[in-house]
Amino acid sequence: MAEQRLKTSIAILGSGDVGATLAYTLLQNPICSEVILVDPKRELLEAQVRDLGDATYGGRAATKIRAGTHQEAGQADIVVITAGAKQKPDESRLSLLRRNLQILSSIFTSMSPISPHAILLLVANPVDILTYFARKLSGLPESQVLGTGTSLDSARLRGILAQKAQVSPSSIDAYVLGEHGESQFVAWSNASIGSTPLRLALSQHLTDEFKTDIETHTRGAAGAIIAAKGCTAYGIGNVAASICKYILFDSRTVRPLSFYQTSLGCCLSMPAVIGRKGILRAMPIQLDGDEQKLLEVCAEGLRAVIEGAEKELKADDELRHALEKHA
Amino acid sequence: MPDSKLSSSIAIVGAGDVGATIAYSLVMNPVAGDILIVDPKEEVRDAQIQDLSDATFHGNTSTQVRAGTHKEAGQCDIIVFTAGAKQKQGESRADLIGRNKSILESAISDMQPFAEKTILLLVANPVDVITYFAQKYSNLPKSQVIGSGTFLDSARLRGVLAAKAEVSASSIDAYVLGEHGESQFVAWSAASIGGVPLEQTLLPNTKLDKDAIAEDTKNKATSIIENKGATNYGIGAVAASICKSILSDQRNIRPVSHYQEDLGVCLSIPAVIGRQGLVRTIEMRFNEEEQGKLKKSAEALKEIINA
Repeated sequence: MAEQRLKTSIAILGSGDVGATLAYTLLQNPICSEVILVDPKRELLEAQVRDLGDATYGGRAATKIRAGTHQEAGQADIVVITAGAKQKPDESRLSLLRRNLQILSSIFTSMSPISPHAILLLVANPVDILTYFARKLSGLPESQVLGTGTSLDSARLRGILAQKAQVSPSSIDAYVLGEHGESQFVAWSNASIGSTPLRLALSQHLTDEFKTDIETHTRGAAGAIIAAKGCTAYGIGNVAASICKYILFDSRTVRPLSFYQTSLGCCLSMPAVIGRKGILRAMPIQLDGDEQKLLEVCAEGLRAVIEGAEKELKADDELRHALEKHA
Repeated sequence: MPDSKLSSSIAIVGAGDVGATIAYSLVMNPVAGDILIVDPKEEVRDAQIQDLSDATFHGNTSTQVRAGTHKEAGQCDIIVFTAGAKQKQGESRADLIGRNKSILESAISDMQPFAEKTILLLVANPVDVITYFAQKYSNLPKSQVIGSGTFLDSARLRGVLAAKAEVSASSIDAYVLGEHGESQFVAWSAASIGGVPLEQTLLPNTKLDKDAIAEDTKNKATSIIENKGATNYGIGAVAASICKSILSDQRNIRPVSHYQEDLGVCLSIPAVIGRQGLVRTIEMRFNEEEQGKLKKSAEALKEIINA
């Protein structure tokens, strides 16, 4: 008979700005008994845990925080992966991706054997690619591996539409879909304010120029923040914490998240129903002709990167074996 | 005559790690509808506002974060002052204080005239000295000028005791008081759990090295700063909690830095916090040793103020 589980826990891999801010969010709005922070950089990890701990001594605090190992992380209810290499100056995207895949692979080795019930939430970039490879490397069921994808971009979209329409962002239903990156697109044909289609709510304002401006803003928002303050933390910390809540409480909320698209052969963001087992199902969406094309361009680009990365990894493996035999 | 303000607002002066984390705490636990970030470094300020606003587009969408001027800050319900230079290598405390006093004086002059019931919450260091001068420069009633003081140190102390007593930190009453700095002290005689004096509630075989605990609590910030460059989460949570106590007129008791008539300086003693700011100071029954430490703290602060 299964042992009674006495507490819920969320493990965060990576104690940099994103990981620490996510941890802080989970402490300020408690949804689990324990947050475990993991990072090979021991001194930074311990400093973050001490600072975060200071936020758990007040009356509202109900969650504990501690430093933990990858082994412990593998037994948590949710494992959030924020760990990733920072792009070196003049480093190619391929080189950065290769380093990130190595980090990912070593994470799964260290967490093994991972709990069969763990939900893996990828935040590190390039999130759609990492989510794709995490599926294979983790050995977990398809539904249990997902990435934050365009959920933050969608929040930003709602923020700017809210400003233009003079309503609350929470009253706007609009998605950025596809790659969390250059080829992301806004599903304009599905955007609405409650049950009012956007073209009715904004009418003459909804010109092509308006749409392009908004898409440019949403696509470039992260870059602008990073250029001025070095990172983004609050937006993604808050979004990732919300997703953790939807998972732990089996809330069945619908959100744009990055997960495997069978017909497209890659992971990218589409609306999904999210609950305790992860992505419970995709929410069907009807895209217009243009949006469908953009989705296909997205998928093509991601598949190309995946194929390229798979070749590189295979070549690395072959080289390693050859060197070992030769040694 | 100006329109009466219809929704509550909090201004945060200083868009560094501390200011931004306080703003984030106020977004996650909504206390006011409007948060203004004030900082002459516009690029950093705007980037922080973007990042913080990203957190208000789902979940709590009732709080707005925007840029503000010093003048607008002066009209807010609460002004949280985090701006200040960090101590440079080899710089004396006196020099640091000199620089931070000028930053404070100039900011206050730009914020004047203050709205009648504005509460000024000082977080910048050395906080007791900054709180003292903030009151002098602003001319706000003394009850409306408060420093975060030893609130965070007290939280840290309770965290240590919680681990020893195997009880939640929030169920422990214990204070670090006096200066937020070298001369801070633990009021052991007032520490209790569930209404029972601390020593009587500890589990058998639990020893309490009081001096070590007090030292560790005092130095915790230094060890964090050495490894991550700053502390922001602890102070972020604490400052947001004080804002809540004020705006909700909560009347909870907190060890915050405020003016002590009999000592002529600002330092931390437990006080009731509400919408008017410092409602009243709690009359503590210190033992002789603690009385001595309080006096020493006051003297140390008086020296710095008069320097």
